[in-house]
Amino acid sequence: MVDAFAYVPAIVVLPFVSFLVALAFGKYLPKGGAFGGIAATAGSFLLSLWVLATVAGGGQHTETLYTWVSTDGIAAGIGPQEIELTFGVLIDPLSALMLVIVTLIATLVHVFSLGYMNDEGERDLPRYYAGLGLFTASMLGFVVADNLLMAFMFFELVGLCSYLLIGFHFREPGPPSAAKKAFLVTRFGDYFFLIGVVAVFATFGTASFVGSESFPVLAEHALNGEFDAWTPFGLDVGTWFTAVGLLVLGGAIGKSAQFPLHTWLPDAMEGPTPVSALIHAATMVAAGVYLVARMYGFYVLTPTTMAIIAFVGGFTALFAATMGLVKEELKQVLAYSTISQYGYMMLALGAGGYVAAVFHLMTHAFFKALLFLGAGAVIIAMHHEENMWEMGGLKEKLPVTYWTFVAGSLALAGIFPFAGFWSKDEILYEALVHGLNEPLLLGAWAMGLLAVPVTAFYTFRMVFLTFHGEPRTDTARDPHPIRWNVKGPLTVLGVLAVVSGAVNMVPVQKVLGLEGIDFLHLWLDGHYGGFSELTSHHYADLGPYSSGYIAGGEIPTVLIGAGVSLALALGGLGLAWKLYNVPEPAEHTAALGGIKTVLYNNYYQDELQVRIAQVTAGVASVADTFDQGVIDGVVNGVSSVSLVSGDRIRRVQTGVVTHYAALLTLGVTGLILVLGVLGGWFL
Amino acid sequence: MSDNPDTRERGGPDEYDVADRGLVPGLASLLLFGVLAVTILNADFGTPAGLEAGDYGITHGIGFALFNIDLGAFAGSTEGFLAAFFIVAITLDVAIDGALYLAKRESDGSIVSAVGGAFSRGRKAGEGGD
Amino acid sequence: MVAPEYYLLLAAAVFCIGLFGVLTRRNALYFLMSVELMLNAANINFVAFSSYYGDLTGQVFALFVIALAAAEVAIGIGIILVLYRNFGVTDVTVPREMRW
Repeated sequence: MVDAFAYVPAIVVLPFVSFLVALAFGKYLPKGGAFGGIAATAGSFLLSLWVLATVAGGGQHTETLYTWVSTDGIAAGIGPQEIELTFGVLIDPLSALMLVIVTLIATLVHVFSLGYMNDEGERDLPRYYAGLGLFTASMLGFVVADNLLMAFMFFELVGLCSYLLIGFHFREPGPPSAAKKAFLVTRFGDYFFLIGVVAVFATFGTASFVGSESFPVLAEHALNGEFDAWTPFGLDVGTWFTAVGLLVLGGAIGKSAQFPLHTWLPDAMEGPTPVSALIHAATMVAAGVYLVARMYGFYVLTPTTMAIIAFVGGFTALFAATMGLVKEELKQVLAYSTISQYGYMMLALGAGGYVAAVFHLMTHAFFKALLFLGAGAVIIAMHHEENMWEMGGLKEKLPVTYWTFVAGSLALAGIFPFAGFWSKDEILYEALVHGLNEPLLLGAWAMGLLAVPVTAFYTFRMVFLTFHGEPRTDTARDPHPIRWNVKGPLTVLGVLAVVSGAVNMVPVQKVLGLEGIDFLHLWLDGHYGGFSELTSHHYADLGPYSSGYIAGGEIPTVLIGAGVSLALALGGLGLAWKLYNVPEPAEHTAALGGIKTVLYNNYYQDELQVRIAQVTAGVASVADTFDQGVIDGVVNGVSSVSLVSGDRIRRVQTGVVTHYAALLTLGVTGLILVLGVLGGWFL
Repeated sequence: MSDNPDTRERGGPDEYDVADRGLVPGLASLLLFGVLAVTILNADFGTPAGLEAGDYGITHGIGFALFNIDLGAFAGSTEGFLAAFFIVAITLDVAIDGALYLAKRESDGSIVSAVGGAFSRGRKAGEGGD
Repeated sequence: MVAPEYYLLLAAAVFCIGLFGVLTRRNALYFLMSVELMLNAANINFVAFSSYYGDLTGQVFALFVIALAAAEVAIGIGIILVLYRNFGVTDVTVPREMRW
């Protein structure tokens, strides 16, 4: 029997091969290597579907592919004495699902790029497709990683690729700076992640995600007193685990653009729009949430970390949504909505809603990719004009884009029965029922709930300004036509944005008492296949939360929660309708007064970070001096020593026969002397 | 191609002398001799065996060995060298041909004889065509 | 029987005299003569050990060496001719092209 799991490495390798091909031969290939990328990602997608089907048929898989370092007791006296650094794959319901999402989005983004990059006559296409291939490969490697170290490495590769792609238009002033910012800000988070990885190794001697020797399981045993985990300074294990969890969380916060490390993401809009879609929907930003979900068994052990995750998530959801209210550029609005939506996922994870988070990760991947690709289509049509005030009335000109964009917007706003409604509602429900006994969590829930109308408002403000009303510029009156390679991906994602909520209609199940339609719950609970220690009920058993209900029971709680959030979303939508769905919309931002300036300037977060950066500039300059002087000095010194000595030594070769003969003679003499002394001939 | 003026100036017969170079490089050979001598004097050569001349004598033996004829008393101490003999014969032939080839040269498209032209720094008038 | 050390010392001396010539002379013809000395030093060793250990092979080899020396001289003379033709001298230190 052919085993799907044997082909898991191929899923990662295929896009990597397309990266190599595009890099080496892209110049000679039609469309700058686009077809190779499409073929590779489509192949990965098909393999991922196969893997998904195999997992659905009761499979799970973990395998160590390569042992990088195997040590015996070099960790002198600190922590565990034997550490193995390995690379391997872990296929469980979570990673199989994520594989399908990532490869699907990547394939569609590749197809879309034909329309966005090739048809627009962009230069350097091989570099673009090489970047996309490596980006996809890195993310897939991250998804299948079976231990924290491998995850970290691919996490960093993802960061590198985002740098390469955000800075794709490096000849303009904005993109390189944005790329640098994205790189540095996420690197700041990853720094903590790296320390966290080392801490995990030091504490448990393994960073494996799965198995009885995996670090979440060992942590559980350590808290029960069954395993003797190493802790620094004689800390209590619980405290130490909280610290380790927070360190790793630093990486997730940086990548998933959570407060306060969210500032890179709006700037990342400088990249080509398909790249934005890839970053926001499936790869980079999703990586942070996925990381937390991947090692959820560790996080649920430490209530403090969970509370912090929930609160940061809830706060980011509201905070980013308010900034999205006043933005004038299409992609900027989407950028803040991304931050906000990932805030919801973090809220769900922190609130013990593991399934809800993964659910929202999935639906968000579909509708946010849809929205970004739709925005890309609008940008093509508008000749690369992104300001919404220059648009208007595109509804008739771009029907496919319009309807799919509306589907995505309804999903984003959380309107029944689109995908986003189900997932967002489940998140808020989980936060509510778990938060009734936890004030901090309840506060996070309140912020998440408040963000709902704000989200609906800015989403439909964007839709109305772009597509409704009268065209406000000549470009909007006569948009550039778009082709099949743009419409195709939009249609696929539009359908998914409408229907993908159906995989997990928990409220319907609870209210109507239907059993077995919460497929995602069953899926992530190992109902079909999977590892028992990576299931959602295992996490729920470990978790710190107990459920409470309002209005006397589960069903009223479900109904009230869904009703309130739907009402709020419709309220936001209605307000946007009233203000902006008119032939000649006005800005209406003056009504916000002083807050407007604050929102325009993103709460002065950038300025604050620059200020903080200036404080640390002294340290940085010392490090710079050290780097330039000592590190580079050593390197340069070595090279100049070999240069100079090479230059001197080559003078031995004079070309004069006699000199060679003399050297030969001396050499033979020396040889005899050495052999004689060593062999004792002269005694 | 010939008679490079640069080297011509420095390459006069006077400079063939040792005088202007000194004997310093020769010290290396003296050093080697010293080392060799010490090594030889400290070496142990084992038991001598001596050559048994047998019926014909050593010169006979060498001749027989060269042509793989009956080795007689030397059968235990040597072997046939006929193949090597032929190879050396061919080598000598090649060497003489090579020497002749090197001694000729092409000048203005025609082969010039080695003797005559070579030792007079170039072609003599009327020799070697055109 | 003469002790082998004497033969070896003689051979070493002849060899080093040849080497001395190679190292100090500049005329290529002296070179050829010096190389001849060195080859014959090797011959002395061959014959000396042949008679010391009672092995006829050394004697046969000495013959071969003599033959090869003849070949070497033939080629060497040819090279000297070319050298002379190209540089106008038979000074081996003049051609310096074979270097870095």
